[in-house]
Amino acid sequence: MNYPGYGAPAGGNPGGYGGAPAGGPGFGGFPSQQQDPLFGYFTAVAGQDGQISAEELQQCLTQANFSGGYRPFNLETCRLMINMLDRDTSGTMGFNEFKELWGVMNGWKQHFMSIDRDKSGTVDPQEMNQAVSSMGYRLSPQAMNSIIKRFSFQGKITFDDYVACCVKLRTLTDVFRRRDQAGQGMATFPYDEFIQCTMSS
Amino acid sequence: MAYPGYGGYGGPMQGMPPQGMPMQGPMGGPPQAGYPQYGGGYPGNFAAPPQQPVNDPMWGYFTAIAGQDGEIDAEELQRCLTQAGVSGTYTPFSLETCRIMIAMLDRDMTGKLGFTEFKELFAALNGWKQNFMMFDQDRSGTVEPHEMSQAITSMGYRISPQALNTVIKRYSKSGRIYFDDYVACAVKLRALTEAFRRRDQMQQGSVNFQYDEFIQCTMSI
Repeated sequence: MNYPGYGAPAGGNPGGYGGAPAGGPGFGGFPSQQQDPLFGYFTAVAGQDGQISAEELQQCLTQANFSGGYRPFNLETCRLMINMLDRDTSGTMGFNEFKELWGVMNGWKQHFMSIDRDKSGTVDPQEMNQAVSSMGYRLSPQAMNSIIKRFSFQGKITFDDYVACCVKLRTLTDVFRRRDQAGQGMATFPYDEFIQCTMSS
Repeated sequence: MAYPGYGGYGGPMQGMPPQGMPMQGPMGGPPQAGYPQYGGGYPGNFAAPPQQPVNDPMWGYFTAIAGQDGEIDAEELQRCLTQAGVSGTYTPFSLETCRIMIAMLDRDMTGKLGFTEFKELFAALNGWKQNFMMFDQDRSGTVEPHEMSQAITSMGYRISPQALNTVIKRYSKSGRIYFDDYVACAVKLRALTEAFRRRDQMQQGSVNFQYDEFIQCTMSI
């Protein structure tokens, strides 16, 4: 399902996710949580309340070395990911949401590593440009420049910022598309809705 | 020129009383089409021309933080604000807020703060702090959602309760709003409102976006 001017399909390949969750059948396929190898990991991270907050997710991803560098995984990115998957709008992640995220993260990591040709743990603006296009987004050079500048640190893009960019692009594109039923690449926003949608992404 | 949302901040810095003033409506009369002229905005000018940097008491502080390259990036700013205890809590100041504040002030588009921009930032932070403290009665360094709602309204924004709830939830941690997240919210609200308003010359309260400009506008904040 491709929308003109958007490119990226709703959520399957080769859109923002890029891969089936690691470790077996897709979402909802496991008969019981307790038997799931990922469940032990989840409970360790989630702690007492059985839910994962942005801070706990940050610790978990930093320790799992997803950030690939000496800085902790970006907290804002964690918040964005929880927001993206937060179907019960609790602001935290339950086990099913965590499983989904884990699968998605692995997909993103694969994709990132395929762009990071010199294996530096960062990509440069041009590689980022290609990555976004390859996800199916059709954006002007001007828009791409703004985006890349926003997500760069010292001229390069780290994995967690790359993830933040992917998540935001997907969320904002969804917001836009819902108001562009005719698929014309134009949508009207009253101020209040504009603020509600864009402030919460 | 006083801007709503800051209380004592916005006019000439010298001699302004430090207490937070009750917020007046937006400049220039009632809000047009549901959003303010400058709600929660950031004034562009100071009344007095800047002193020579080396004579300025903040210069030593600035150079210490800025390090070798003579400019302050988001991480250096975070360290500085954390050490200065600006948030009034024991947690580090939010890196994302630092990044957003630099983006707001970064006129020469370096991604970092020079000395003048740094001074402006401190002045803005003081203004925000005054406003925040008006609502943080127990000095916990946090406000409750309904207080945040009042703070946003007092800056001059006219937003539906539904939209307010969504916004506040986004910036809450464990049901409360910390100062650094409050600042991020204020800065983003202003930036998005300005972006919207620039495209709504007729002040109809509604904008027709093309996909590309929508993405550029919302992703770069």
